Amino acid sequence: MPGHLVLHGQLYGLVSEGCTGLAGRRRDSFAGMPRPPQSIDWPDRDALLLVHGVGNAAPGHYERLEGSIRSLLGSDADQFAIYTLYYDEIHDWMRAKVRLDEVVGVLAKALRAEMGDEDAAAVAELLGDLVTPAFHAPSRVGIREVLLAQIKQIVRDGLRAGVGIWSQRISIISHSLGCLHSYEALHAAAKEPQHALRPLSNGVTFRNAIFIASPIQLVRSAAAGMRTLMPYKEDFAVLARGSLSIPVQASVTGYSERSVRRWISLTGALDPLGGYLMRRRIAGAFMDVPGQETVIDKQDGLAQAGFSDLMSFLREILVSGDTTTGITARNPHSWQGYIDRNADMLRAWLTHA
Amino acid sequence: MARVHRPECGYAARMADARVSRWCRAIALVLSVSITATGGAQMAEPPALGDIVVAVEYARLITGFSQHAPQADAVLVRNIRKLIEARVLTRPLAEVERDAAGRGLLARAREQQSRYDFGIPDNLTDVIDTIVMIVNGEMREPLGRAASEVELARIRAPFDQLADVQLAASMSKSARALERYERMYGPGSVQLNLVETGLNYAAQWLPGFGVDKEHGPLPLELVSSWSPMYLTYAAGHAEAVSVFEAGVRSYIFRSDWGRSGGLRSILKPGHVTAGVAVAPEGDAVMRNPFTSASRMGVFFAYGTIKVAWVGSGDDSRFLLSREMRIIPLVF
Repeated sequence: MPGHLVLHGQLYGLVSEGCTGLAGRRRDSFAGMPRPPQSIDWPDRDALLLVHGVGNAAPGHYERLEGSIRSLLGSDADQFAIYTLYYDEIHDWMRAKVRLDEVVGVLAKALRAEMGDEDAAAVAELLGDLVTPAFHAPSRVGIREVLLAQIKQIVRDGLRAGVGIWSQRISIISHSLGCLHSYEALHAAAKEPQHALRPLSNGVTFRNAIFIASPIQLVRSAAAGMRTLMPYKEDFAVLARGSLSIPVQASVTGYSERSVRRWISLTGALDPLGGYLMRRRIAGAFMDVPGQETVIDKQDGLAQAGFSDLMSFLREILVSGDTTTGITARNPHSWQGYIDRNADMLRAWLTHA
Repeated sequence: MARVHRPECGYAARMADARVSRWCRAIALVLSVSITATGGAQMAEPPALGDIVVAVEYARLITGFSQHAPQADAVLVRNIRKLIEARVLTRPLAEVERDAAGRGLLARAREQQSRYDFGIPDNLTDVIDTIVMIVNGEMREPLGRAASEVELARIRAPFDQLADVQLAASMSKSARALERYERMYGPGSVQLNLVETGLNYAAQWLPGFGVDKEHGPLPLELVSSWSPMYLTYAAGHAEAVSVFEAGVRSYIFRSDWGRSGGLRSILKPGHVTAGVAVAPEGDAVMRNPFTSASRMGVFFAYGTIKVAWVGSGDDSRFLLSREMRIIPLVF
């Protein structure tokens, strides 16, 4: 390429970059947080945080789900401040940084798979959501930071509304991969002083942590043989030695307090990501935290529980790349499906002590 | 005064304890009367550490904490005494957080230490933390039973105010950490090719790479790319030259650096890079830089502007370029 043309092009780029500033075009400001945490005026003493799983959740994504939750709460709905968490921006950054969409596209072509650009993007989304938290410590810690920032805002909103910390009733409902991020955040909240969310040092406890279709044990089992490949694993609560646990803080006097009063695992008999394969529990995939309440959704009427149905459900998850709104309510892994089928129990957990 | 407050003197400690107990009981009595009579005591504005001490003493009184949980009560009293002796009770709660960062409260207490020879505990933040833990722990249930709703609200008020101060400080820290994530991984950051992705995955175990759970991502990133768009001037004309770069990029996390667009993005970029440059023999584009006649040198990038010096003698070249990723995945 003629050097003078390249030189002109480069100089033009530099000059135009400078001129746009001189011409007064608004520069992008340094936004700070990817998306500022939601802040809501509490109507009463209850707050609920929804944490999505795999997928590209953006404002508006939770509308139907939130509507279902308000509907199941009935007359109590008005006393809840319902928060929705958006952390997918961090995943999108990581995907763009390593150009994961292009990698998946090239791989798909190399494998001669008939994968169009949209499907490649969906698979990249899924891979990015699943793989990066395990192998890229900044992704995992960054998402945890976003979740913890939202929890801190929730507590402060309660204080601003005149609800003291001891009176606040905060619940978290997580679905699918969101369960992993919630688990990480709750353990960091109970352990790390810098978050000011510990049960004894700061008085913050959670009324309910409801894990729907949690793949936490699946991740633990899959990661067991790959621990050495995972960076910063001493900070990865899901991979901690020993068993999974409900986070606690112990005082200098020997007294200890749980961070979560009620820890619930709700999963379906046909949901492999929640630890069940065609109505059989898989020990290495089912989250069983000592002290948890376990509820198995029988998921009757959803499918014949055959192999072809299972493959069809998994393919739907893979292709949609979004387990909040991208799959039908008949898919055993559907968050909406779990909410609709277990409305009575959810209402009891959220409204009763 | 110095003799009384010397902690190793048993008599002095007992005297100090007695004075502390009488003082706290008096304040607790006044507080209980005012809460009962008026339905609410006036707290000092802004809320201070003394408000916490008063609230705790009142809570001890109404719950009979010394009988209910004598061991926890002993720890509580010991730590309250430390706070009183440190003469920090008038300090605003907002300074407690600054103390954790090494300024404000502890600094003030140490100033007084040099004048009055008090025993300032090194761990003043731990002292406050211990008091709060016992109130949130062993005292929570008995307090919930013994106190009326109004009393409980008044007792809890300074603790809630302290919690809010701590949360505000924590959210500031979170915001700074998330700014770092955006700087390093967000839209303004440099994309990595496949080789760099692999190298930086492995580098997470090295100091300066990866993440710190308090501050966010660490600033360093490995660079390994082939840049076909360097320019040089030789023999009377400009030529394009391909250069292989291997080095380290460091992101700049200062808040007024790294803003996109305009002159500022050039003068105060979000990252700088330095490392080894390898150019092929002769000035040409798309030529293999790894031959026996390659020219070695160094490169430096200030944001997206790059300069390099390769070769020696007549064969040396000064090169100029901009950060550009042209062929996906590779460069």
